Amino acid sequence: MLDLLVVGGGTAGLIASGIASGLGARVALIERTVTGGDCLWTGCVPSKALIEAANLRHAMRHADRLGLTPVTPDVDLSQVMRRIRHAQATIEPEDSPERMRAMGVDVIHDDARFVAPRTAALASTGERRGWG
Amino acid sequence: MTEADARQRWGDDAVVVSHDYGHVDRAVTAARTAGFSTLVGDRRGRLVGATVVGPTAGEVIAEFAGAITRGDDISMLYRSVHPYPTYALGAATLAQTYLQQRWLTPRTRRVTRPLFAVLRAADTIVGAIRTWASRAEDLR
Repeated sequence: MLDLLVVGGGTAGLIASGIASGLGARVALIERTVTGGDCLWTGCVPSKALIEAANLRHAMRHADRLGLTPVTPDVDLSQVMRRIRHAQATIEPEDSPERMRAMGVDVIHDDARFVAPRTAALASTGERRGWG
Repeated sequence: MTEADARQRWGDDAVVVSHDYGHVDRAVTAARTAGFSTLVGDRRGRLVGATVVGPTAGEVIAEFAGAITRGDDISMLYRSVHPYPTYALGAATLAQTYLQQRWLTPRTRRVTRPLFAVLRAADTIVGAIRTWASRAEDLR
C-alpha cells in the first residue's frame, strides 16, 4: 500500500513526490512519456533558450543604441536548435527517473486510470496501485 | 555576513549553502553558467548574508538584502513564488537545498515513517469496516 500516488511527472508531480519520499512516505509516480513535463520539453526551457538567441540578434542589429556599429548575424536555425537541445539535456538529469528513484520514488512508465477513489489501474497491465 | 564570519561565530552550526550557475536553469538556457551564489544563515536558520557572482547579480542580490534587513528566516526565500526559469529563482533554490538538508533527514523520518504506517493501518481498518458494512447491507 502506498502513502501517495502521483499521476504525471511534470514539475508539480516531481516536487510533490520528492518531498513526500524525503519525509519517508511510500510514493509511486506514474508518467506516460518522459519526466520533466511541459516546462522542460516544450515550454519554459526551450522558449528561454530560443528567446536568448533572438534577443542577442536583435541587440546586435540595434547596437547603434550603444554607440556600436550594428550588424545582422546570419541565423542557422539548426545550430540554434542544437543549442536548445543542449540546454534541455543539461537540465534533464534534475528531473530524471533515475534521480527520483535515488530519492526513493517508485517511477512507473505507464498510463493510469482511476478505478476507485483511492486506486488507480495501470493501462498496460491493468495492475492496481492503491494508497490511503 | 560572509561564510567566514559565520563560521567564526557559530562554527559548524552556521548555515552555508552554495551552488554554481550550472544549477540555475535560466543561466543554462542563456549559456551563461559562469558564476555562483552562497547564502549564509545563523544557527537558527535566519538569513545573515549572501554572495552572488554572475549574470544579473546586482538584481538578484536585492532579494537577499531585503530579507536580511527584515531578519527573515531562510525558508521565506522558498515560500514566495519565483518565476521559472529566472536568475532570481536561484535564491529559492538555495533555500530549498537548506530546507531539504534541515528537514528531509533520517531524524525527521524517524517521526514521519511511523506516522505514515499508522495512517495506512487506519485506512486498512476503515476499508475493512466499509466492506463488512456493505456486505451486511447486501444480506439484509
